[in-house]
Amino acid sequence: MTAASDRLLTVADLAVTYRTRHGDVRAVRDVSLHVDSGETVAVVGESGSGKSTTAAAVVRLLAPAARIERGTIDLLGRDVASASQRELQAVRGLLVGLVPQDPTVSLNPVKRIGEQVAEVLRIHGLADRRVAAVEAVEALRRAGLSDPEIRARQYPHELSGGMRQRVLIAIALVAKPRLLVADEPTSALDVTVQRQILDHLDELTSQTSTGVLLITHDLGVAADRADRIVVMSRGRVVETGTPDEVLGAPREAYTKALLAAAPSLRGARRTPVASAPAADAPAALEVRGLVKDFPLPRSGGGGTLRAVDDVSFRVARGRTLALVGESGSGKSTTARLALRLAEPTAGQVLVGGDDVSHTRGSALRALRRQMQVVYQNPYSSLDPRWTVERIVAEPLRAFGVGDRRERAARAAELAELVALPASVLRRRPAELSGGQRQRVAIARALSVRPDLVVLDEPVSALDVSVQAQILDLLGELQRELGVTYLFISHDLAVVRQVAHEVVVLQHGRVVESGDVEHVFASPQHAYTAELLAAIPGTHRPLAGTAAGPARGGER
Amino acid sequence: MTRYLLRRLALAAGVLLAAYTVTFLVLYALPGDPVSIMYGGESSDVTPDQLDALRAEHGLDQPLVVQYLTQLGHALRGDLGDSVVSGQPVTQLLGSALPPTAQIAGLALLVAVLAGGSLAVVATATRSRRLSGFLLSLPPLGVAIPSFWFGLTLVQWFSFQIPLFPALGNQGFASAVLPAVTLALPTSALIAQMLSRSLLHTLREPYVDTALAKGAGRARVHLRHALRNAALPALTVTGLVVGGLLSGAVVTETVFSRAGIGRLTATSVSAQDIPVVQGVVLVAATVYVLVNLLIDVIYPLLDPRIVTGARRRVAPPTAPSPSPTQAHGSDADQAAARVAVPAGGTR
Repeated sequence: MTAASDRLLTVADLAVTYRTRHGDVRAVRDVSLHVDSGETVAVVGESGSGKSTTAAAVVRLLAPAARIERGTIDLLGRDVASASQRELQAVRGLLVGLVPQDPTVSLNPVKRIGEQVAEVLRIHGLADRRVAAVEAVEALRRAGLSDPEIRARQYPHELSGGMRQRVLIAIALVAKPRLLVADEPTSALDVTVQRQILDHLDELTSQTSTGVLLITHDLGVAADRADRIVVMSRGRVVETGTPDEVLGAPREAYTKALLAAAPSLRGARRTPVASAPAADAPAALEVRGLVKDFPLPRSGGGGTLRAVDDVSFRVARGRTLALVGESGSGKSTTARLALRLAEPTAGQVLVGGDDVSHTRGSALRALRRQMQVVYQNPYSSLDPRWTVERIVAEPLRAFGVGDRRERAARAAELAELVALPASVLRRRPAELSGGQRQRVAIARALSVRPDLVVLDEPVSALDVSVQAQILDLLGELQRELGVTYLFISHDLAVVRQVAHEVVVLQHGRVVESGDVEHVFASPQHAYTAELLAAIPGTHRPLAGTAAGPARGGER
Repeated sequence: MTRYLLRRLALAAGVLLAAYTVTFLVLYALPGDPVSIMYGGESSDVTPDQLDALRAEHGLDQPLVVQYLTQLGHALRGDLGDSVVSGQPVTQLLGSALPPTAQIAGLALLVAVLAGGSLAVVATATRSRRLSGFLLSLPPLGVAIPSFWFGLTLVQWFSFQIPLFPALGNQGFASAVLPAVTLALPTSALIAQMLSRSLLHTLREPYVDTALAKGAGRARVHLRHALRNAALPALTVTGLVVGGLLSGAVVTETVFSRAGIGRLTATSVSAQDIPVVQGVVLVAATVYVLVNLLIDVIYPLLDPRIVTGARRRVAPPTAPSPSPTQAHGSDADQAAARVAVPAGGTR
């Protein structure tokens, strides 16, 4: 390409400040980076590192509270940092396209897909209504959507998350911009979909030598996709270089810590394998032939959707069994059936050897005491108006355990157990970090001394370094308390670190199960192999993953 | 769609039957003798024999169930009985009272939607914080102002000081303006409040950023992307306030001495004219049911996610969430969960 070495974007000494009630927060300070045409530059960092703020600044879509204090953002000779609204409107969509973070909420729900793609061309006067509609269909085809003519007439809610992200890519690229800003474009998607989307994005942008500024928290994605990597921490750029330089031989301590915390398919496992349980001891949880059908709307042809189809597994006491699969694989529904939160269409649930499939009333309530849950998102699973002490002690109150003083004592004990300072008990969830909140959720689950804890994606909403700490905590608690875990996850790297056994689900069916090391080393089923291959970071080995987990302060 | 409509119509009929039954029970079955209430009262110039004769005439000596079924049968044939005071058929009274009220209520609704809607749009679109703050403080004020006072003030200004509109009566369009404006005030305040809240919320949605990233201007983003999404909750409220317009008509029509349903309600209640009161309740319920049925029909036109009839799904079906409580754990919720994650820096 002739324009191969054009400088598209130069960010120099950028500083962005958020005004909050507690004073100014300097989210980005002295950030400098550049993107050439045909080049993919990945900005990696944890939440709060300022990477998304940097991306938003490049298209000037900062939150109202944010202000660019200093610096220039040079986009093909135009300073975006000081541009007027009118100038920005001329630049956005035409010179720089944006692929947003979450495809499920980034499309206007009441407008047809085709209309939303064509709108870019209409805004910039590149085509009249009829031509724009035709080009929109073409852009959808290029973005890799099957039957683009049909998709163009559909509404966003009729498409899956991966398809919606392809639509957003079509929107970003339809006017053939020189630069693409992609803010965590696949973090809301399944790994296999993530790989397809990123592959496709690579292909499209290399054809047109479009420059890409890729924002990601996932070092694996950065390692696989970027020509250069910019590592950010606390609003500053701490390290820049090619993936080999940054990931192969990191100079900065922060980069090393980030690498060490990243779960990987190589490197040490976190949980030492516990001694094999006696074969004849009753399993903490066993399910036999579980089936769950959901009725489909009668107007849509009726029938039923089989979400869980003949699933059987057993979890021995004190061990961890992981349920793995993509969205819609039925793993969460299986967990709900096991917890007796949903009624199975067929099959049995056995807890501690007793058939509880048809337990009702007070017996079911007593059963709940043996089985507790930790949910995925610690930001929404804790009541924001309650103190941590009240949250942690709630199951005790619900089961009428102890008096007020005993419950307070137990709450303090639990805080210590999950390594939270006692002062946290009087605070509310909003004052805690994500990792601390997940510790609170774990303490709550453990308060009634359950035999079984269902962990539903317990770390997928957390940063990698915090993730590592929580996984360590879960391992320690299991060794200390002998509690059994049913661990639900889409992240195979995490599963490998914590689980003893794994059950791989696809379309509600068990396609493979067995010992984690064994399954991961030699997957027997094509789907398991596909899931393993889709994990980012497998194209290029990450250095330092063999090192121990990061011990840094939790944020 | 047809099936959906038929189901909704059946439900509407059910609501009307329930309204009729409850009014019947309240008016006839509660302690107290309807005949002595209607004809006796304090003036005891009616002899007990006459009362008995009246009871027999009105069928009130029959058991309650028989009374109810007889009256319901008449009502279904369009006979709501006669006014106790004037002896006119209730349907005739309602028929003559309905058009003037429909005139001011319809006009009020139009004014309320236009005024409330534009206030909300301007308040959320303006870049001036002062103007936006001022405009957003108006709706609570509008709800707080008593409508009889507002009506009298309007008469004072626009009839006496500047004689633009007649202060009283039912003559022509001009006489409907001031009552309609009076009636529109609380309604428009509610619509403005609801729509501006909803707009402010919608403008923070990620798809608004997507639109801005396309290079769309503020007007385009506001009117073409945000407004249609934001209109949905406001539409629901509009359906509810139509009921408010009817009850507001009682005060407004009294203040402006206009004939209409409101006045008819006021006079028949004070005269304890039970058949008329029952007729008025039935009319109010009908209007309410029809307006909300209309809104239910409009809703899917504005929001394609609301399914009324055939549900098409082209994407491979994912496991549906059987209940909202599952949301925490469901796979589909991962996306939503991730949005909330970045605490600082990211939006």
